[in-house]
Amino acid sequence: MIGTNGFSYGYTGKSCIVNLDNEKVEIVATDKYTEDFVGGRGVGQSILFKELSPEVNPLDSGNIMVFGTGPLTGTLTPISGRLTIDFKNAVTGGVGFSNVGGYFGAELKYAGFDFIIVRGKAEKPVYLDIKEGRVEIKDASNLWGKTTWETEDILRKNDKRIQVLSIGPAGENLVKSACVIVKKKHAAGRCGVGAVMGSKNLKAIAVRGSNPVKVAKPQEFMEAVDKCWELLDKNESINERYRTHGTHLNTERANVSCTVPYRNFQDDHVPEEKFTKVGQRVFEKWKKRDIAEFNSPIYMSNFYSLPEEDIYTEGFEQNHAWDYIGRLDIDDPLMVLKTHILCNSLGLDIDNSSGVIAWAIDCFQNGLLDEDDTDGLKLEWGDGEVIIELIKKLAYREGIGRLLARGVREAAREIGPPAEEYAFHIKGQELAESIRAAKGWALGVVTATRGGGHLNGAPMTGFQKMPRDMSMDKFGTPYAGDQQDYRGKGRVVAWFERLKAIVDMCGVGWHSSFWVDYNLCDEKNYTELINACLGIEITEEEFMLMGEKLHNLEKAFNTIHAGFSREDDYPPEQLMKQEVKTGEFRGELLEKEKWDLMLDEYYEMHNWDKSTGLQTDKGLQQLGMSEVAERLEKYGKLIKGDQ
Amino acid sequence: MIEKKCLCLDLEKCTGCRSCELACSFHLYSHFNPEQSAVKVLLDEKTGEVEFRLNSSCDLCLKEEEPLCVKYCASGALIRSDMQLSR
Repeated sequence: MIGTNGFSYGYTGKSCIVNLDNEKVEIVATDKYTEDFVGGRGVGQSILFKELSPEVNPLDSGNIMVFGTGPLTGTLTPISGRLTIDFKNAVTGGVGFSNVGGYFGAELKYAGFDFIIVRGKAEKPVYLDIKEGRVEIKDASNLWGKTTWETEDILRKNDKRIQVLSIGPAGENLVKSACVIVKKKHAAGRCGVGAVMGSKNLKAIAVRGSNPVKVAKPQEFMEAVDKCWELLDKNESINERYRTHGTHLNTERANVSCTVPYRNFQDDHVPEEKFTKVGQRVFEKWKKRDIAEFNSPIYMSNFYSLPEEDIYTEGFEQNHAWDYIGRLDIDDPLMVLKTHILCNSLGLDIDNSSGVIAWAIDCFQNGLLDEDDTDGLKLEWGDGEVIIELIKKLAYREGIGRLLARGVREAAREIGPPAEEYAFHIKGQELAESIRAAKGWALGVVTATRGGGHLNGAPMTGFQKMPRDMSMDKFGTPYAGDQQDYRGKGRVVAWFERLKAIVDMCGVGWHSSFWVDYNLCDEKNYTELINACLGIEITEEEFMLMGEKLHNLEKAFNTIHAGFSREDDYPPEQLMKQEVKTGEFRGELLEKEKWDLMLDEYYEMHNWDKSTGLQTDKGLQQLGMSEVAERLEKYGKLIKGDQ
Repeated sequence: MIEKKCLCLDLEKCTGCRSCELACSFHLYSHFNPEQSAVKVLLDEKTGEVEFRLNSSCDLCLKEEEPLCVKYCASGALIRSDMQLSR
C-alpha cells in the first residue's frame, strides 16, 4: 500500500540479513519489506508472519529476530531513538515484540541500516559489528559470561559513540525472563527476548556510523516537528511531574488509582506509609543529573550517584517500583537501587523476574515451597538480601533458579495446582500491572498481543479522568474517563491499539503520545510527520487503518502459532474472585459477566467473532488482508459468514 | 566595543538527549546526522558526567532567530548570551 519512496528519505534504504548458521551476511533493499507497513514493528511482524511456520520453537535456530527502526528514528521528532525487536515469543509461543530506547535505534540508522534480520544459530558465541554500512560477524568468546555492563564497556572501549545492545548471563542461560539491555539501563523486555538472542549464541550488536537521515520535505517536516516539540516542551502537568521528579513519582499517583500491585497481587494498593521509605523524594538526595531519552524534551530519568556505596547508575522507572517496591514489598531504597542494577547488568526483565520471584515467595509463605526447595533460603516479603540471591540464582539457573527460569506458568505447573493459584499470568506471561480497579486498562492489558502488558491498547484515560465530551468526540463513547465503568472500553482499547501500532511503526517513543496525556501528539501529528518525512500523502484515517492491520496480523500470528482464542482473553481467575482490599477502590474486582460484555464490544470493534474471539473472513477482506485470511483458513481458524 | 554573540553552556543542566546534535546537523545540511554536527554531547554512563564539544563549523545559526541547538535544548543547558567575550 504505502511505505516505499525510492528511499531517498526516511529510510537508509538498506537492510541486512544475517544468517548465523553459515555466517553469511546479505545486504538487501529495505523496500522489499515496506509494502504494507511503513516501518518498525509493522515490518518486523510481517516478516515473522510470512516466514515462520508454527512448528518453529521460539528457542530453536529457526526463530527469526528482526531489529528494526522506523522512518522517523534518528530525526528531530521527539523521542526518536527507539528500536523494535520482533521475534516469536519464548514465553507465550505467540507474538513477541519488544521496544527499547537509548541511542541504539538512531545509531543503527546512522550506521546505514533500517532493519537487521537475524536467522539461524551461531556455532560459537558471536556479536555483530555494524559500522558505516558494513556488517561483520565477530567472535564473542571473550564476552560470553560477561554482564551487559561489562559487554558495553568492552565494545565501546575505543569509541564511546558506539552504541551496544547485549544480553547478560540470563539470556545466555535461556532464562525466560531474560531481556536485552541498551545503554546500561534501557531494556527491551518481556517475551523472553534475551533468551531468544541467547539461543542464537548472539551476545551483542554494536553500531556506529555517519549516515544521514534525510526527509522529503524539510520545511514541512520541521513545522510538524515543532508542533510536537511544543506539545511536549510546554506541557506543564507532564513536565512538573517528570522533569522535577521522574516517573517513579507516578507510583504514588497510581497507588491512589489502586494500580500498584502489592505482594503478588494480594492487593492493588500499597500502604501509604511505604512512600516515606521508598517514595521518589527519598531518592532525590542521590540525584546527580536529569537524564533524557534520545532527543526527548521531557527528561524523565535521573542519574544517581552514591560514592559511599559505589553505586553510579541511571535510575529506575515506575515499572521497577511496581515490581520490586510493590509486588515484592522492598522498602529499603538501597535495595531498590541494587535490584535495579543487578537486573540490568545480568540482563533480567524486571516485570517477569519479579513476577516469578513473587510467586515463589507466595508459595513459600503458603507452604508450597520449603527450604529444601529454595537452597536453604527463607523467602519473605521485602527481604532485599534474599531477593538479590534469588535474582542471581534465576539469571544463572542455580538451585531454585532452574525452576524460576521457566517462567511463572511453567514453574507453577511443575509444583502443581495449589501453586498455580499464585501464578499471575496472561497467555502464559507474568502479569505486571494491577488491573482490578480500572476496567479499560484491564481489557487493554489482558488482550495485549504479546501476552499481557500495557503497551498495546491499555488506555490511561480513566486515570486522567478524561471529560465525557472529549471522550465522545475521540472514541464515540462518553466513558473513557470513567475508570470503574466497563462501558465503551472495547472502543477505547481498539483505538489505542491502532495509535500504539502507528507510533511503533514510526520508530518513536510512546511517551510522546496522546496516551500519556491527551494534550500530547495524536494520530494527526504522526501522520503529518510521516508524510513530510517520506514525501507521501496518507490521511490520518489511512494511517490508523494501517495500525488496525498490524494488530490483525499479530492476532492471526497468535491464533496460528499459539492457538489463542477467546478463553485466553480473560484475566487470571483470582482477580475475578478476590477484591482489592485497601485504598480508594477497595472492594473492586473484575466481574465475569461485565467482562464478557466488554470483550464482546472489543471484538465487535475489530470485526472478530464474538463466540470464539477468532478473526472473520469478512473483517479481514475489508482490511485487504486476504493472504492472512487464507493462512487462517488453512489452519481451520477463520470464521466465515455473517456475524 | 565589539559585541560577540556566543553559546553558553550550563553542563549541570545537560540531560544527554543530543537534540542539539540533530538540530545543528539540520541547520548545516538540512538532514539529521550527529556526526556532522558542530556540537557533540557525550554522556558517561558510568559517572553521569557529560562532555560537550563545539567545533569551528558553528556559525551560531546567524540566519535563524536563535541557534537551533538553543531552540531545541529543553533543559536550558544551552543558551545564547550576547557577551563581550566568547567563552
